[in-house]
Amino acid sequence: MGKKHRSSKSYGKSFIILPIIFLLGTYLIIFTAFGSTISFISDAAGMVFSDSEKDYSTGYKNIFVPVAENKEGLKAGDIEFPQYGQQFGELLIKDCDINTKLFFGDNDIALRNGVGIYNGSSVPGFGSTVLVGGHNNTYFHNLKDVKKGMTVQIHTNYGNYEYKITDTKVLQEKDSSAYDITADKENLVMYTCYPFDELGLTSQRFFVYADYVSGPQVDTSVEED
Amino acid sequence: MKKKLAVIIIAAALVAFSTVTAFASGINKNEQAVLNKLSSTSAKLDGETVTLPASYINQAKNYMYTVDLTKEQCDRIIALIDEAKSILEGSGAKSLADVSDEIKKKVVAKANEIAKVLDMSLTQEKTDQGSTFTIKDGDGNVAFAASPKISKTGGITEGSIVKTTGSQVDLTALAAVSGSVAVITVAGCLYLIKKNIKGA
Repeated sequence: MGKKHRSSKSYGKSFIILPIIFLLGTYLIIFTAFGSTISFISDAAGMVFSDSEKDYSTGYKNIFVPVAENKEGLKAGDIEFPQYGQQFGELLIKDCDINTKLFFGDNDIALRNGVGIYNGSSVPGFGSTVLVGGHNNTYFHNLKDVKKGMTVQIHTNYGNYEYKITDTKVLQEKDSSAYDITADKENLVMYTCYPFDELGLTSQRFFVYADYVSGPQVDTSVEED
Repeated sequence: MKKKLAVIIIAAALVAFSTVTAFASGINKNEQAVLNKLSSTSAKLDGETVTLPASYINQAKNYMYTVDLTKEQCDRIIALIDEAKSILEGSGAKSLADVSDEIKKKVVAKANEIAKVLDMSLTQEKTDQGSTFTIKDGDGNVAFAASPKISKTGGITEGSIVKTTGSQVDLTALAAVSGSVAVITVAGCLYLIKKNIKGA
């Protein structure tokens, strides 16, 4: 009788409690210890299980050579305009410890290695909206700590730029009023997923807006033959 | 001896000049003509007017900062834009949503012809959310990427300006990882049960 009672208790512990503890513990370990690298785990599984095509290449071209001093009278033909997927600069927000590579284009490779400018927007110095995206669990993790008045520095292969943060907003990813890529005044818009520590897909984005302060404006007049 | 020296000097000068880094110029007047065409072209259907999203024109402009297109290339591209517009306007559709798949294929074929003028290729990837079009050169460098959507108010909008920038989780892969953890859990349970049985 005592033995049966002990076996029932053991079954309850072995079959219900321990599995639940083990499952929760495993997810807790994966999330807390490897949260920043969870993409590696899902990518590895994705190679075997997922139907969607993924780009697992890690190569990209880096054309960024820091400019010691900004040049006056820059023309578009004087600079090496970045091609899609190339690193051509770096983005720094020193007040919240953001220092990351800057890419032209926001494909998987770019966002795995830094932050990327949407190639349908503009680049610094070209007088319109520069739209920069980055992951909230890597290079834009500290974007949540930005405040109005902080300075954003963008160093490119053709000049050094500064912007001052003026506002932050949480908006839906499909909200086209979040940015204006037809603006005729240079401005910087950075974004990342929101809530910041949510695992999985989220429909909200944290947008940070900054006004242009300084840096060489490129003459984009039509070149004569 | 003097002749050999002259040849060496000339060759050295040619090498020196050829190693000067020359970037593609900015937008030339032919390229500007293409950009003007893209900006001003609107296809008039019975119930709506279709124009290209500003982001597509920006992509074209940003690409042109990296190349120098000839007048012949630009004239051909402008002609193909007009042909695509004619196909759309001649479809008889009242709105973009009503355009048949056959007409869409013809328009995409024109876009592919434009890519070929630039020695590039257009690929279309169909997903649950629609189609993604990418134009790449022979080295795989992307010149244009878009996921056009038909907007509720008519016309085209770009469906992929703001990207997914959270933890990279592929739901299918997450299910696979979860399944693997579940299998390990069950295996562990069975081991413990077997051990308890033996102990009893």
